[in-house]
Amino acid sequence: MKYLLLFTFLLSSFAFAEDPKESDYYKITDIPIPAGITFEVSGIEVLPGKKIAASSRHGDIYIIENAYDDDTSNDKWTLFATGLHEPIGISYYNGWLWCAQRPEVTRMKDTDGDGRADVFECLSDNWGINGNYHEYAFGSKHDKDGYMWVVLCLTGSGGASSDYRGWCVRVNEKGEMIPTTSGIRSPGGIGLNHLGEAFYGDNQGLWNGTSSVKHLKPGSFQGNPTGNKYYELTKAIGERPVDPKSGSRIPIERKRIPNFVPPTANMPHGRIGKSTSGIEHDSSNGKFGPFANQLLVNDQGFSNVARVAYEKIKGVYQGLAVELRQGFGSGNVPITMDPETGSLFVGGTNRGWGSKGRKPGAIERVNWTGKMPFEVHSMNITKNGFKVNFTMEVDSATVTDLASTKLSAYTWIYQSGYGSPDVDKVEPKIQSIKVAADGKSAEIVLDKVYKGHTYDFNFSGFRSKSGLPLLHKVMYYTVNEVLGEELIVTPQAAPAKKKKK
Amino acid sequence: MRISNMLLLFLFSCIGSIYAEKSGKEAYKLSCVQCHGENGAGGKDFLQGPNLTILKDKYFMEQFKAILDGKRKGPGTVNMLKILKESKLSDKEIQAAAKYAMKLPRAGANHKKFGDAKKGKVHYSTKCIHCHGMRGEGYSNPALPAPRLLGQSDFYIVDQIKSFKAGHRDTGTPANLQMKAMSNLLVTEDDMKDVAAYLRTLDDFKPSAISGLSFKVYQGKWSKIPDFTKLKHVKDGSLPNGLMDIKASEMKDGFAMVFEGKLNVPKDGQYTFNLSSDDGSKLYVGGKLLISNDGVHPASKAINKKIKLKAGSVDIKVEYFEGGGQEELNLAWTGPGFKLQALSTTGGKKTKKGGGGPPIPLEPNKVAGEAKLFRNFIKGASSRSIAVGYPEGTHIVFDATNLNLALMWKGKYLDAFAMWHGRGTGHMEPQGDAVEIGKLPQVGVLANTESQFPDLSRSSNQVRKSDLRFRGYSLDQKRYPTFMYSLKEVRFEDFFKPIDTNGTGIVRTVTARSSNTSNLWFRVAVDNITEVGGVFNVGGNYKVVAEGAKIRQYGKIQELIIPFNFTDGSATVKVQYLFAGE
Repeated sequence: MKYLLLFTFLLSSFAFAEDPKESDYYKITDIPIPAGITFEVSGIEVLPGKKIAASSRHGDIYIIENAYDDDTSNDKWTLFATGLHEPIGISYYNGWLWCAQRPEVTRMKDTDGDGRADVFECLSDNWGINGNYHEYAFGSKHDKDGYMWVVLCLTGSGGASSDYRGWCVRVNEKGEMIPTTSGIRSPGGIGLNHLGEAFYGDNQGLWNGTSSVKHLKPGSFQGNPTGNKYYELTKAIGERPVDPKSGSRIPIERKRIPNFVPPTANMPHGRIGKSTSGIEHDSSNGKFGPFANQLLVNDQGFSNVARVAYEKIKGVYQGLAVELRQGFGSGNVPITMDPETGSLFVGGTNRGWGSKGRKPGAIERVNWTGKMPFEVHSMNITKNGFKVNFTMEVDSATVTDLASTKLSAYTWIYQSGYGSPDVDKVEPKIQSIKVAADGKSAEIVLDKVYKGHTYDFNFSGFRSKSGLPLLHKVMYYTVNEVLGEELIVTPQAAPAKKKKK
Repeated sequence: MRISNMLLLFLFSCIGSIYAEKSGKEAYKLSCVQCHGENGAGGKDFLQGPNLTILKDKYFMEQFKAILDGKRKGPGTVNMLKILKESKLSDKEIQAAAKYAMKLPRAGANHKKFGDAKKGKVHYSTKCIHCHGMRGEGYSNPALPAPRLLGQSDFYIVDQIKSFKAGHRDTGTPANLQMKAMSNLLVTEDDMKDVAAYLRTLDDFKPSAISGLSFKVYQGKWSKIPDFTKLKHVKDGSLPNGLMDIKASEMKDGFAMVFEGKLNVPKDGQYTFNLSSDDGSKLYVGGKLLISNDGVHPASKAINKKIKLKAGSVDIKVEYFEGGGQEELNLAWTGPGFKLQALSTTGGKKTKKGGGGPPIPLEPNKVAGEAKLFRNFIKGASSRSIAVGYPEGTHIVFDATNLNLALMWKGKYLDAFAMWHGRGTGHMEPQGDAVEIGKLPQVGVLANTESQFPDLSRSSNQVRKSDLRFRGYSLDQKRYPTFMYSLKEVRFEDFFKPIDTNGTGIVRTVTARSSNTSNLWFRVAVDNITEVGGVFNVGGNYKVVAEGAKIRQYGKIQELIIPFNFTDGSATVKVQYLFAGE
C-alpha cells in the first residue's frame, strides 16, 4: 500500500499540461513562521482589525498582523500569551480570546494595553485529565448561544480513564459546562456550520472503520462506547444507551441505539485522507468560490482540505466528501475562514503523527483565484439514485455516457478493534444518467440504493461544456438514510482482523 | 562416479579441518581494519570508510548485503569488494567479521572539519530532518527508513550524497528513491559539506571517563544491596568501553553486580552524579558512599548528588542488585565544561525511555526580570500543574487541581524535551531537586478550632467534588502570577515571590475576600511538624515561617494552620517556605 501511494504520488506530479490544476483556482500563500520560533499550529482565529491569532502546541499564542497581503516581509508577529497547556482551538468572543487547553476552557485578555494577555480566567475545568498524552481537548468557535464546544479525546487509543473522556461538552462565559454528546474516540478538530451546529473529525481506530466527519447533535451517541460509563456523572443527555455489538454495521446498531448519530461523511482511509482534523464552513458568501456553506475539512496526514456538501435526510445529515486542495506545508489541524475576505487560514503540525507536508509547523492562507473550477458542487440522494450538481454547464454526451462513470459502494465493520477494511462491497448498476435542461445537474438512476453504504464515484469521463475534465473526479457520498426502499446489505463474514499499525 | 564424489568430499573436509576457520575478530583485522580502523570509527579522508559503530544493526546488515550483492556501486564500495576478495576470507568468515564489527562499542568519528554548519542547518531542517530525525538519529519516518547520521564522519556523508546523486546507491526501495530525490536538492558540493558540517556539530560523542572498568556478578534473592564481602561471585569480566552494563551479567532476575574502575576527572571542580536503577544501587566515589538508591523500586526516581573532585584519577564503584521484573542501571555525570555524560550504557538523558534528545531548557527571562509560567504535566505534581520559574532562581508548581503549592526548587527551571518530542508522552521535569510541599487543598471553613478540615480534595482525572474552584490567574508587569480561586462566595488571590536570589525560599501571600465568612482557615501542611523559635520544620523537607500559625495534632502527625482574620471583607495570610538547608 505504501509503495502504491508513493507511485500514485509520483505519477500525479506528471499530470498532463492541459489538465486543470488546483492551484489555478485556489492559491496557497505561506505566512512564514519567524526564525527561532517552534510553532506547531493548533488554533487560528480572526480578530477585529484584520489581525490573526494563532496558538501552538508549545502553549504560545501569537498575534499576526499583515497576514492578508502577499508581501510576507511586513508580517508582524507579537507574542500574546505563553505557557498554556497545549491549547487546541481558539475563539474570540465579547472582547476575550478563548482557548481550550488540556485541563480547561480559558479566556484571556490584555487589560493594560501592552499587547500581552494579563488575565487568564478558567471558565470550566470540570473534566478529568490524568497525564496521558492522548487526552487532548479541542475547542470550537463560539456558537450563537455563546458556547465553546469541546471534544475530549479518549485516554490513549481506547481507554476512558478520566471523567468525560469520549464526550463533547460545551462551556459558556458563566462557566457552565453542559455535557452534550457521548461516543467520541480521537478527534482531530471541531467546527460549526452556518446554522451554528457543531461537527468534528474523528479518526480511524476503535469503533471507527475509517475517519469521518460527525455531527455533534446534542444528546447523541457518536459511536465509540468507551466513555459511556460517564453517563453516571450526568443526566444532561439522558440514560446510558445499550452498548453496540462489535462486528456489526452502523445501520444495524442504529436500530438498537436510537440516539446513535452516524457520520455525516465517511472519509475513506488512505484515499481522501487518513486523519480528519479541523472543520470550518464556507461563510464567505461567494468570496471563496461556489461552495457557500459547505464544510471545509482538514486532514492532518494528507495535508489537504476536503469539502463536505451535506443534506438532511429524515432528520440525519449525510453527504458528499471530495477534495478541495492539497499541498499544504505541514499536517493540517486548525482551519478558520475570514468571512469578509473569503480568506481561509490553515495551520499545521507534523509532530507525533506524520504528514505529507513535512514542515514541523505551518500557517497558510488560501484564496480563491476567481476562476470557476469545473467541480461536482454537491449531490442529493433521490428515491432511486443521486442528483449530481455541477459548478458549470456540462457536456451532456460525456455525462450520459455510462462509461464515464465508475461506481462502487461499501461500508466498514463497526467493531471494537482498530479500523476496518472496506466490506460488503456492491457494484451498483447504473440504469440511466440524464442531464437537466440547464446542463448544471444530472440524475443518476441506480438499481438499488443501500442504507449505510458509502458510494465511491469516479466521474473520469465527465467534461464541462468547454471541454474541461473535473478538477476532482473521485468523491464519496455517505448514505445514512434513503428516500426509497430501506435496503441494508447483509454483512458478509468478517475477513482477517486488521492489526493496528 | 559416486565413489569419487564421496572421496572428493572427504578430501575437502580434510582440507577444511586443516584450514582453521578465523574468528570474527581475526577476519575483521585481516580486511575491514584497512578502511574502518581497529575500533570501527572509519577512515580519515574522502573515499574512506564510514564509522560503523553508530549504525543500527538492521541498517548495517541491509547495507552489508547490498554491498556484497553488488547493488552499491560507489568508489568506496568497489574498493571494499576488492579488499574482501584479496583477503581470501570465506563467506562465513566475512559474515563473522561483520558481526564482530556490529558489536564494536561506540567510537568517535574522524572529521575533515569543512563547511558552514549554519547554512547546513537550514538545508538539514528542510530536506533531511523528516527521515533522519531531529539530531540525525535516523529512522524518524517509519515509511521511509533512513540511517543514523549522528556521529558519522563528515567526509563520508558528503561522499554518500554524491553517490546518491550519481545513482551509485539505487536499490529501488521507496526510501532510496526519496533519498535520491533529496540529494538532488543539495545542488553544490558546498551544500553537501554544509549539511555534513551541521551534523558534525550535533556529534557530542565523548569517550567514557571510566578506565579499567571491571564487573563481578553475584546470584541470589535480595531486597536490598547485600554485603558483598560475604559473597562469592559467579562471574566477572571487564568492560573496555568504560560503560557499566548490567547486561554483562547475562541474568534477568535475582542477581547483583559490582562495577569498579578509575574515573578520569578533567579538572578541579564540582561534579554532579545522577543515579537511577531498578532495583537498588549505591555509588561510591573516592571510596566514599555518595548516592544510596537502595531498596526495591522502579528506575523512575533519579538521585542527583554533588561532589567536589580534584583533577586526576579517582576510584568509582557501583553496587547494584535486581530482585525481579524490570532491570535498569543508569549512571551519568556532569561537571565544569561538559554536559551530562553517560557512565553506563543506559545512563544520561540520551538513551532514557521515551526516546532521547537534547534537553529543551525553559528558563525565566532573567535579563528582563520576568517570570515564566508554564502549564503542563509536571513530574511530582498533578496533571493540572502550573509551573512558575522566577528570575530570582527559585521555582514552584502551583497545582490547579487542589489549589495548593505542590513543589518548590531552585536552580534550573524545566526541561521540555519529553513533552515537545514525538507525541509528548512524558512529563516535564523540574531541573533541580524539587521539594514536595503538599497535595491537599489548603483552605476550608472549620466549625471550631477542634473540627477537622473538610475534604475538598479532587483527583485531577475527576470532575470537581466540592465548591473549591480554580478561577485562573492574572500576571503583573513582570509576569508574576496571582492565582485566583474560590470556595463558595469566598474569593482567593494567591501570590508568590522568591525571598531573595540566593535560593532561600519563597513567600506566599493569600488574600481571601468575603463579606460574610467566618472560621476560614489556611492549612500550611499536614506532616511531622516541629517548631523551634518560630520556625516550623515540616517533615524535614522544608521549613515554614508564618505569623499566626499553630500546630495541632492530626492523628499521629500534625497539621499547621493559620486563621483568616477578616477586616472589611478581606483577610490575608502570609507564609514563608524555606528550603530545609537554609
